Amino acid sequence: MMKEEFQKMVPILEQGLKEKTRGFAYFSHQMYQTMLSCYSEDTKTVYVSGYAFPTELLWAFDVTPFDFEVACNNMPTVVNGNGSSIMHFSEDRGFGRDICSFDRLIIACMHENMLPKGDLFLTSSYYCQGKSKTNEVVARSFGKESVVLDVPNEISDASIRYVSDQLKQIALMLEEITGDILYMDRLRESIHSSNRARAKVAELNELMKTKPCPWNGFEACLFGLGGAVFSGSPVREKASQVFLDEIRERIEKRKLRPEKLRILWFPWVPVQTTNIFNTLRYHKVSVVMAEAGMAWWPELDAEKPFESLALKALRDPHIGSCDRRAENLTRWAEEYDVDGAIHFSTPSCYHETGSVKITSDRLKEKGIPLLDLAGDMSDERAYSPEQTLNKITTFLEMIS
Amino acid sequence: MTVTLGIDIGSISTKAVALIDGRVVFDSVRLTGYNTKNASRSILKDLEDAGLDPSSIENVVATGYGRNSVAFADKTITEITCHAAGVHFLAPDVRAVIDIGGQDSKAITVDETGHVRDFVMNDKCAAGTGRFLEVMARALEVDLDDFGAYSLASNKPSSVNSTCTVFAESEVISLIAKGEHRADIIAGIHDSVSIRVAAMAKRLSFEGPLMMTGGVAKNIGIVKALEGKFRKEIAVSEHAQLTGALGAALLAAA
Repeated sequence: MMKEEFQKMVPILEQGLKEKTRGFAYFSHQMYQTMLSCYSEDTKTVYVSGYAFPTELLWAFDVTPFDFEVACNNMPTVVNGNGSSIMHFSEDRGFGRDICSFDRLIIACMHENMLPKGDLFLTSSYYCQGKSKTNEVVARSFGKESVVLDVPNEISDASIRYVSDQLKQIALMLEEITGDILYMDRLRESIHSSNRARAKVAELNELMKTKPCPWNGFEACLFGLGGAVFSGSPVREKASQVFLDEIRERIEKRKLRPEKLRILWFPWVPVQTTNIFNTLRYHKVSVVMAEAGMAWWPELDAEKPFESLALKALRDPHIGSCDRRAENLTRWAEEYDVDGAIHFSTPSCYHETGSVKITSDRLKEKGIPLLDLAGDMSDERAYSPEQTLNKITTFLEMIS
Repeated sequence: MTVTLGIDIGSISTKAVALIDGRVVFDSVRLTGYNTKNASRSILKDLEDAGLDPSSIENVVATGYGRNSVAFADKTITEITCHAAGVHFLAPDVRAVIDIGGQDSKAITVDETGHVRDFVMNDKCAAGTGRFLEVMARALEVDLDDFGAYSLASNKPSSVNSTCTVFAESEVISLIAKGEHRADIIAGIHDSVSIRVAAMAKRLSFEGPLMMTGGVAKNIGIVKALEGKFRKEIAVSEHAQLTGALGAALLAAA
């Protein structure tokens, strides 16, 4: 079902791209095509979560990263937003509903033999622990072990060395599965490519300060999360460039949606069908800044590739003290001149629900109200459209 | 002369208030029932019965969960905004509101102009709401209107879980089987609701007078239990149940 979906989507997107190159279509096409290629016997497939791993290392080898979280959580869109119609395949096998819906979808896809065979299973300790456990469950089903990149909280010389040593070990594993050595020139080029893409994303971030906002923050967020797996590959560079061209043109020709209110959105965008997007559009609300769409990491140093990638991982907004993240969000909220912020809260994202009070207090100190909007990423059964509509509408009345 | 009407269609009851030049001239409370459209139409009949001509109304604001089913409304506004406006009219010095309705509970902070400063609502579960109390009243075979008086007679409130309405009901049944006094069980129920609501409300920071609105405010037992949790007196207007509709009527005149 998953492979067939990718097979269906690739030519549809290709046709659209022949007519006009659009950023989101280009990025989606590349994503589906890459995932589809993972089903080929000749492909060396590496399972990874692109948003929580420095994938630049992978692009220095002849392997294809398979972002298992993005792939499986694309499935609700295939079944008209009803992720539960797939999720039940994991629930029927004892994976309860207190497990993140993202992970239940992955495990369901695994049990239904939808996933491509993996040669290496990589994950990381940050963002959430659920994904690393799920990665392990999936790896076991293929008779493999899951490798966890352990990234500690503090940033220091010792922690940089600790993470970069692990990345070197992972490079050895990649050498083993490809039967080839790591060429440092190739790794350096991957890092240069990542830097070029980062510069474009930073420029996109700047353009979103324009009033009315020229780009939907949800799209920026999806590109930030789903596109992260291409960091270090020309795809990320080109996709960022296509988005840039598209948005510059929109600003130049004043093809901008009317805007009454500007909001900051974090951290995720639900993939199930919701009334959130229509409600915001109806009230002429622009999502001008989505945390996941920001170029939050520093430029990488190609002369110190492993240390640099380690630092990128260590700088992730979800690592370290809640204050660091709250400060970033508050600074961005001010820079983008938002009227309010919405935190989309998924119950199983404990790192989110546990820190939102600190962020909320920090934003309020600056006079920026925050709505803590409870929902679910991909399980429509855990989502109340009426409650959501009521909360968003009240919040918009409050900040108007 | 400006006539405005506010209608608050909640999950249990439909409330309406009409104002003439900012003065309350009509109010009505009815059970909402199955059909929210019928509930709103019946308000028009109540208006006529009270000697008011519906065609003289210049502006109608509908609020509450059924607000979108009021075909003759000029505007819809959420109940939180309306409760804030209604409370400001009734007691301008109030800065925080606890509203326990049929299916949800809310805490609202209000500024000196009657605008919402912040709010929180319960999520996904009816524990701690009017419906929760209805279920408990049925299990105890006590009229809900008598709940307040019963609980005030208790010296030793029972311990009742507040996680889930269904689990709480089974706990109550087991407490009855153990022979615990009705008054103690009811006081325990009030305590469990107040723990839940106070924890939610304390997510907002507020100072100054606190008021309770919504139908559950008629229950003195809940009010007292909440006063204990907040360690302060809670004002309750005689129009508590009508506050949302009053706010809607006021906003219709604005």
